[in-house]
Amino acid sequence: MPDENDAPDPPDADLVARAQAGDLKAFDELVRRHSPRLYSLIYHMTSHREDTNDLLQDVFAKAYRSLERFRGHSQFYTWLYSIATNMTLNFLKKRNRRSRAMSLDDLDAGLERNEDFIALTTPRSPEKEVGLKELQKKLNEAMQTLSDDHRAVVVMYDIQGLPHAEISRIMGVSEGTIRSRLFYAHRQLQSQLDEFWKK
Amino acid sequence: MPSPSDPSPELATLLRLKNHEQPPDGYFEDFARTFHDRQRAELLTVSVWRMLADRTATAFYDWRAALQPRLLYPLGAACAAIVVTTLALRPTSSTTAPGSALTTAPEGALATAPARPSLQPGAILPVPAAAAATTAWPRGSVPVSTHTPPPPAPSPNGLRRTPEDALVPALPVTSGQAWPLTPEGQAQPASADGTSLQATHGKIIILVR
Repeated sequence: MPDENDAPDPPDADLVARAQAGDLKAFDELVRRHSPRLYSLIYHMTSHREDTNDLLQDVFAKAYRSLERFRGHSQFYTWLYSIATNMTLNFLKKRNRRSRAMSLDDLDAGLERNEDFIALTTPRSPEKEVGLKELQKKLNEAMQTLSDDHRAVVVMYDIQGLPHAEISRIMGVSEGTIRSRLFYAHRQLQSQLDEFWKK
Repeated sequence: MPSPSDPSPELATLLRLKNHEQPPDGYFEDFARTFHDRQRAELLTVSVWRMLADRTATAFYDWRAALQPRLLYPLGAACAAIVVTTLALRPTSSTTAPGSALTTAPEGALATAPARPSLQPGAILPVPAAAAATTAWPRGSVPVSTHTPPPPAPSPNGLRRTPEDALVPALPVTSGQAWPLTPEGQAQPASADGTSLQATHGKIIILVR
């Protein structure tokens, strides 16, 4: 007899149906399942951990209140992403832009085993790691110069790896607009980092 | 094949590294617990207005999701056209011919123009019909303008038009006409027909006895 813990995770649609029927535990599971990616989305858009925490709470609270209206026209996480993106963009409009330079110190310890990090710092040397930290800091500053809409697209496409079509559905604009925003944002980031590439 | 919108390999790698920026260990467990508590507390205190606002927002999202993105712009343009057309076809109630806007005070036959009129040779100053009705001019001696002002409307200085302004007689004014000033700084020319003109603070006031 298979252990209950070995059972595959139920799909989102099942959990949503149970939550719509009033099963709070089902919604809690949806929160646990989607909070890491939503946290990343909001954090990279706001660059502020406390704001991210507050917004994430608000996003799930709103999703819960609106859950009975979710008809399944899109996937649940697309719907959730859409709520999170809209709420974050609205928040950023209201908030005075607080530039907060982040550094690699914010990263988790697992980064040093990441293949991208190893590739960028090989052969290992203190100078190279310092250079990478400076580069990351410069990138964070450059990200802050993007408009909120452009930054949202960069976060979803480049950092989270969502495809153009999915971002288009989340943001409610055409794929062409997404590609255009990405092109402009990459060009802006590239130009600001060019002096570091040359080093 | 790389898309034109793709970043350079170095930039792409650097951006992917940001995906490792995560909160401290245990954050998500705490978050789920905190949210769990908040969720249950909110269930007891949800206001009617908040529920209404949420439902409206969700319904709006559903409409948006049901539409193709490429249909949104034409739909928006159509809605905007309807609004503009409606506004354009709405009967206007406050337009007045330039230079002919006259208002009457609530009491008395006092009319003021909203701005300093430019007096050209042979220019015509309209006078409210209410004033004309009370004047002692011999009938037929005062030319009557064919200008018919629009319906009454609030004026910029807050005074209201009265329905009696509907017909406007006019007086000929001579270019360069000099008017003696009164001690209060008002120009007050006398006229044979009992009408006087006053200039006060950039406005010409036509007084009719």
